Amino acid sequence: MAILTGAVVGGLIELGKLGLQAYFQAMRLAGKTPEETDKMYQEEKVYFDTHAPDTLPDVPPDIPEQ
Amino acid sequence: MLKKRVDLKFLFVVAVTVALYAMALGSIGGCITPGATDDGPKRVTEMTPKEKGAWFLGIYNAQDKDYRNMVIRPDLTNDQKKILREKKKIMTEVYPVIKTYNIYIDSGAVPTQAVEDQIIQLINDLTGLVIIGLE
Repeated sequence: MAILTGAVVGGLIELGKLGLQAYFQAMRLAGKTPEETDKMYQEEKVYFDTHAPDTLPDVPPDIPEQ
Repeated sequence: MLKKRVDLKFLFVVAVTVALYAMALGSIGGCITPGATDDGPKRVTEMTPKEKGAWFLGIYNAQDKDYRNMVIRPDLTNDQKKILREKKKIMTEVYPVIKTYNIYIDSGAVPTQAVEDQIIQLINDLTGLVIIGLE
């Protein structure tokens, strides 16, 4: 299992999270009327517009390996 | 007292299980098409432009919240930092494309297939984060 580095595990976790997010977002849309979809769109858009990527905090520097 | 040991092997099993579960639901993979049933979510190809817009925004916002929660954790490993840096790069790239998509929606125009394809490609790039770990 030499291939199983921390980064690979982290990548797999990200993959799983993204898949579930995509699925649950699609589930949230299921059975919605056009008005309800519009409401959801507007709500998501408010968050999106106020959270541009330049407001994302930088990742802290790496810790030097011992 | 039963002592639980959380090691990499355990994390791997959890991650694979979650990924397989998500794939089984048909929500990830090359085309990101949630499985369609009468009661379940629509396929992306069957969504209206506004539904797609809400779907793209929902995924982006979920990734944004996840990034912000993760980046402040004091116990981040160097590997996790590497993945977060890549994630931020992809999010920075996808943001203006989703914004363009929103402009189409808000003006009542139908977004071009090229814009949709670009967003889906960039979301697929996020799934490529696992590859980062293999480099």
